[in-house]
This record gives sequence, structure tokens and C-alpha cells, in this order.
Amino acid sequence: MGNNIAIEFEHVSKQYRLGLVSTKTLSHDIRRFWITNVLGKEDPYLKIGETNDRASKGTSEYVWALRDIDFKVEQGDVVGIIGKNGAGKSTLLKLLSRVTGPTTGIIRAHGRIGSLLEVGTGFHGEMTGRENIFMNGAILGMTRNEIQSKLDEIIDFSGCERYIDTPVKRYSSGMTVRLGFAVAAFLEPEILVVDEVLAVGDAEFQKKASGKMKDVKIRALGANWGPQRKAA
Amino acid sequence: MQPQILCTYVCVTYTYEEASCKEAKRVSEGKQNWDLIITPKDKLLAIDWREIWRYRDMFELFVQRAFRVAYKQTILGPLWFIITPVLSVIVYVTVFGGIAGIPTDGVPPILFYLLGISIWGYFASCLSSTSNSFVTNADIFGKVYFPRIIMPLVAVTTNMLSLAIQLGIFVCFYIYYAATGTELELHWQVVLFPLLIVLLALMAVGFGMILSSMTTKYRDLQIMLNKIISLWVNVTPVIYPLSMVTNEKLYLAMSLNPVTPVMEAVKYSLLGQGQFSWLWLGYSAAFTLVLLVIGLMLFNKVQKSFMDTV
Repeated sequence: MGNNIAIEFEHVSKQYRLGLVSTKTLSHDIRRFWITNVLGKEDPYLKIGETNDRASKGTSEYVWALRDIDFKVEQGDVVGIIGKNGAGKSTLLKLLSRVTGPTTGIIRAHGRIGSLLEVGTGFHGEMTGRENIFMNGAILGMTRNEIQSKLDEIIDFSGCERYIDTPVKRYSSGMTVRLGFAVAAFLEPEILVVDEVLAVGDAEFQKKASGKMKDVKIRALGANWGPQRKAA
Repeated sequence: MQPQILCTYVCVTYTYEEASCKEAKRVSEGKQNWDLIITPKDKLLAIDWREIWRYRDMFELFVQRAFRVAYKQTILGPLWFIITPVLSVIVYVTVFGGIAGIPTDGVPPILFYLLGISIWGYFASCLSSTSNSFVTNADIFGKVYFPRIIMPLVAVTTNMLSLAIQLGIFVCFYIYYAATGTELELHWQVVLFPLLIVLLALMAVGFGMILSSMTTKYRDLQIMLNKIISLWVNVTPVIYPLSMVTNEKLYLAMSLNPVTPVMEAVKYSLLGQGQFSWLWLGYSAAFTLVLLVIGLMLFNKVQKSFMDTV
């Protein structure tokens, strides 16, 4: 097993603004632009901001969802992040999956990242289950050939075979989620980011889903998984 | 009942025997090769073509999806791609030609309007779909990373296919008119037609990227966009020939409109009506370049954190 670092967070912070976007936001934006770009000084709004405690009323409209996060994850590790609602778990994963950028700090990663922040991203109600498998798979970073070769397995895993050529808008919500998860289950990145998507479907499907995740883990620990090196 | 623990996982499953040998060496040399480095700011003027190429399958699927979804659950299906432009030409011929009596400089009105509305329609739909690219795709962008610039490219390609269909109709009418003895001037500049379309697409993308970056936080421009487009069509010679404009100030304003030279060049090369000027087209191209540079800078600046403000 490699003892290499796969993910590294260095002084990563993320600031969010509270309240509505309004003329006040505009005046802050103009002031920020003036101070950082014209006067060449530091962003004044980065110094303020409070820790993210949703229960008590604060004075500033800026909060830090993450502040000065440092950690390293080694290759082959399986890491779980546990915390209260609003602790910043999802924010951290969003930064890692590049959905949003950090306010300060650097994140480094080694290996292809596949992120599952939601199942069924990009599903279109008017398209059939089969068409959506391709769309969703491509959005998650799979190539068309990859999806084609796993298509039967995906359909089988989802348990939606009978409906696969019916538009997804006719599906029950459970079926939509199962189909989404099935695509994701066959994603084979080097780094897999998963955010609360395992709690889907009925009891039977949940068992199947967590079984699949364990399978992924076992294969990972067996050191023969994730054979695709980045092409570029 | 057991309390459900919602936890968030990061599974690092990169273990690769061959690679780990190489990497062990690399570590012993004290170097680490990162595939990805995320920092708060990106380069403003860069396009990562290699990354876009890697997502080509997704690009194709998005284009396909736009077509599949466009006329789903209709009986006539793709026939609507033909019916809609034909209907609007009928309206134009009746209202502008028949009632308002706007001349077409000796060109058969059907050809005149068909060409005008296909070209303008392409520009306008590229512009509006590009400028909505952040807002309409917010749900996908919020969950998955892929090069955001793919969405404007998808818009341009999708619209190009419907332009092709409309031009197909144009060609049918063109052949009909030529066969029935109507004199039609075809100039050699027609070979430049694809380039002119690309120029128009780039112009729309440049302007659209500026608008889309600015509308992520403040939606004012998005509301204004429809008005901008409907005003713009009026200062472009789409439904009337430029030769009809006699007011000098108005003529100057219309000449400064970067779409006008392209529209005129297209009409000149296919119908022999309008003007073809390299200088004028050069102005259009320069204008487009400026729009693209500004658009790309704004787009790159916004794309990283727009999810926080959209």
C-alpha cells in the first residue's frame, strides 16, 4: 500500500455572506473592488466574520463555514467526516469537488476525483431511464464507452429494468433515486467523495447500496482497484 | 429504532501497485506530483482545452439532450424545426411586406426574410442561452464539477443545428426561385459563409459570457436581456434593407452595430443585396475579440464561486 498523500488541505477557509443579496451587497462589492484592486490592500471583509453558530444571533453578516482547516489523507484511507448540522462537512466536500472555491488556502489532490454530492445530477424528466444513465454518467466524468460497457450492470443494480425506456418523469421518487445511485455505484475514480447519498431508497435498496460501498472499500483495500491513471 | 447517523464520507481509494512503486521513489526524492491544486483564484485568461476535450462525451450528450427534449411528447416531433421558421416567414411576408410595404430591394420577400430571421435567430438564441448558462444550470453546477465553459459551447452547437435546418429550407426556396427564372445574384463571398457564422457565434458567446457572469449575483441584466434583444433586432437590417435607412445619424448608429456588417455580408453574398466590406467586417471581428476577452475574464473570475451567490 502506498503511504502517499492523496489529499492535502492547507489553511483552507471558506467565508459565506448571510442575508439577501441587495444593494448593500453591491456597496460591499464596490468597496471591496476599490480596496483590493485600486488601493492594492487586503480584502476588508475577510477580517470580519464569526464562527458559524446558527443558534445565536451574531453581529456580522459574514460567517466562516470553515476556518483554517489543515489535514492530510493518505492513499488507501477511507475517511468519514462526522459533525452537527452546519458544521461545514458539505462545504468541505464542495471545495474538494470544485463546486465552489475556497476563500483562502490551498487544496492539493493526487488522483482523479469523482464526487457524489447528490444522486441523479442532470436527470431530465423527459428523457428515458436509459438516456439519463448516459447523461448522468457523463456528468460524473465517465466516458460513453465506460457507461456502455457497464450499462447492463447499472440497469440490473437499479432494479428498474421494466421502466428503463420510460421517461424518468413517470418514475416514482424511489426509482429515480435508485437509478441515480446505480450509475454512481459504477463510477471508478481514484478519489471518491460521497456526501450523504447512501440514505436513499427503501430498506432493501439501502442494504444493497451499503453493500456496494463496502465492496468498493474492500476492493480498495485489496489494492487492485482504481486502475485508471489520469490520461492527461 | 436506531438513530440514523448521517455522516459524510471521503473515501480515498487510490491504491495502485505500479503507481505506488513510482510514487515511493518520488516521495523518497522529496517530491509529490499533484494532479489537482485548488487555490482561491484562477488565471483570468486561460481555457483548459485538454480538460474540455476530456469531457467531449458529456458535451455531445448535452447537445443530443437539447434536441431530444425540444419537441418531446409532440406528434409532429422534429417537423416543428421546419414549421416554426416557415410560419414566421409567412407572418413577416404578410405584415412587413404586405401591410407595412417595406421593400426588399428586388429580392423575393420569402428569401429575404428567411435568410434574415435564420441568421438573426441564431445570434439571438446563442446570446440568450449563453447568458443564462449559469442560472439555468445552477442545480448541476452546484453538485458536480466540469469545465463550466462547456455550457456556452453546447448552446452554440445546438443552435447551429437548428440554423442548419432553417438554411436547408432557404436552399429549397432558393432553388425553386432560381428554377422558375427569378434572377438571383450569387457572389463568390458565399464561401466565407461558415466563417461569418462562426464570427456571429463568437460574438454572441463573448457578450453572453459577460452577461452571464454579471447576472450570477445581480439579476437585473437578465431581466433586461429580452428587451436588449428586441431592441437590437430593430437596429440590425433583418426585416428591412440597410439601403432604406436615410437618416444619417441612424445610419451611423446601425453601422456601429457589430451584427450589421455580418448580416449585410451574408445578404450580399447570397442575394446580391446589401454591402460587403472587409474593413467593416474587420471592425466586427475586433469588436468580437474585445467581447471575448472581457467575457472570458469575467467568466473565469465568477465560475469558481458563483454557487455562493447565484
